[in-house]
Amino acid sequence: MLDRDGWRREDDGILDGAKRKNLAMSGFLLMGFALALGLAVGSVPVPLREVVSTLLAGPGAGTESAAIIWTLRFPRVVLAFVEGSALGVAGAVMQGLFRNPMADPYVLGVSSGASLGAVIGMVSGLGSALGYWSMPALSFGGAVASMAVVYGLATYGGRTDTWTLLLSGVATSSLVSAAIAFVMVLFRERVDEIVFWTMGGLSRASWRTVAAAVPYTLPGVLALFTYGGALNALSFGEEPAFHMGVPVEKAKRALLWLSSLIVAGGVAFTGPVGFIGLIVPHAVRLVAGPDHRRLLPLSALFGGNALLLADLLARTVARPREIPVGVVTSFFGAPFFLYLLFKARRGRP
Amino acid sequence: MRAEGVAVAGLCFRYAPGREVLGGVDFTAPRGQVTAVVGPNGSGKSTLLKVMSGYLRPQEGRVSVCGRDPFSLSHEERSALVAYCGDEPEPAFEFTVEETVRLGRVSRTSGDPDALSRKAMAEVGVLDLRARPVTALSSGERQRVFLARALCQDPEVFLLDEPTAHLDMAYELQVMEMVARLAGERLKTVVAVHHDLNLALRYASVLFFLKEGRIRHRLTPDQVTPEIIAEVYGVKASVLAHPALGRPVVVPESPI
Repeated sequence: MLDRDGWRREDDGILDGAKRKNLAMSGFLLMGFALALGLAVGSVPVPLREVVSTLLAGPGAGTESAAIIWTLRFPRVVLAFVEGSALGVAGAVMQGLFRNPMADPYVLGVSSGASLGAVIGMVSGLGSALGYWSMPALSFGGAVASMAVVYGLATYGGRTDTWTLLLSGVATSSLVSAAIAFVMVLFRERVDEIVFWTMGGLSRASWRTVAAAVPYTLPGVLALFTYGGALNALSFGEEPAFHMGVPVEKAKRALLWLSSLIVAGGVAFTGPVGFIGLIVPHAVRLVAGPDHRRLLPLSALFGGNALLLADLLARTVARPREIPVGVVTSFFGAPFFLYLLFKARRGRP
Repeated sequence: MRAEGVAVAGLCFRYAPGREVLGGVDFTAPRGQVTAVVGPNGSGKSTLLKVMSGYLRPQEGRVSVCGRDPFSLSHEERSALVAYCGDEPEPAFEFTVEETVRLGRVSRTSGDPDALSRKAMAEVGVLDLRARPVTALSSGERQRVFLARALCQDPEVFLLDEPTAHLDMAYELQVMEMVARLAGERLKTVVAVHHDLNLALRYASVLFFLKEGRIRHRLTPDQVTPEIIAEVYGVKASVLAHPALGRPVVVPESPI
């Protein structure tokens, strides 16, 4: 990125429009590749040619491949891409807003809140009271409740203090985690189920979840794209952004709620998935620069790809068993994150 | 109140109840001039600037920026009218100098951002740095970049909080000459907070001496005397004439 003297080289991706386009192009190519692989690979492999013919034949073909691809894998890859995009863009938003590359989409306690909601559902029987939608509804409720508490704690007189928000998020999350641990002790027989849920996974994906997740998530993601300029200003600090003419409090409110809400929706269907929201924006920023007008869409694209590929691994490495996708994202995410960190540091004087 | 420049009347501001930072400030800065606000640490200089910029809402008093109340303007209107440039936190991300300067146009829809940002960068001598990340700059370079961003915003009123605090002698003069041209040639309104009295005496038409949240004196540079310096700063000083320029120069001697 930077040479020894801290100069940005002229041939850098940041300044070179063609390279920027290349990044978006390779993102889409990767998406196509990952989607194809996601449909072909699984406990029962389907050759690519058959994948294509099955897709062309439509869902009603009645073959075994049609059942596997149309009812199991297709909704699953769509859900993975959509929720990965939500995590990627929400991570980029939170990092810009908190001026901190360590922030992730769960700073407002969305993941622990959702987990508590799900855990309550599992142990109380409420998880089946409303039928299919009970668990997503409960975890979504938990996520939103947690967000509201954290946001409320940090908002006073119409202004939301970013530091208080970060700290209330940490405190609330650990309080909620303690509550989850307490429930686990009381209901030892459900521990397996609870642990599995909190590690995240896409095995519950179906067309019904896709039908709920896509119209819920997509408008939020697209709305966030319009805040690129405001986020650029905000990443210099809230007061400087105000002086540049950014409606700081309004923008902050919209950014926090939109990004947390789309992530809360994702957690309801997939459980919490770590590291994507942290690493993807980080990696994109290293290649494409910090301009949020590019960073947000690219983070969505590569976030979707990341979850798609992680899910592919999750259901293939231990075939026929499936491992939680959160395990995969952490397993690859943490070392990759360290790699980025050290690579970035080497460039500095 | 006059329709041009900046005027405040009867301004009171408290960050918390009982802690009054500004206590009844009357202040005017006409268009086409540099007006300086000077005074000891903690006298309320920066707070005064931030109230004029619309960032801090005063508990009492009126503010007029080009005849408008900054608190009733839309954010876009406000950014077209007034820019504030002061100390900023360390940048968190590696925006280039050019990307940073162009943020001056973030909420302005008119004007050509390319031309304006290039001109602004040239005016404060950071055009050569335009491809460098702001995180890799010295504090003086960064200060000029933020100044360029305010220039790129191209408002009617510039509120500058110690615009030369991190600059070396050459850039200090270069930046202040540029600020003087902003007022003198482009007829902008400039309010500058200075710790360096000599810069204020050299470039400002009028100096407001602020102490403990109140304006103690409103003087032209020629009216500044050792007694005033002693009263406001508690410093024994001589006021001499600059040997070449003839403007008054304050030479401090000792604390009183």
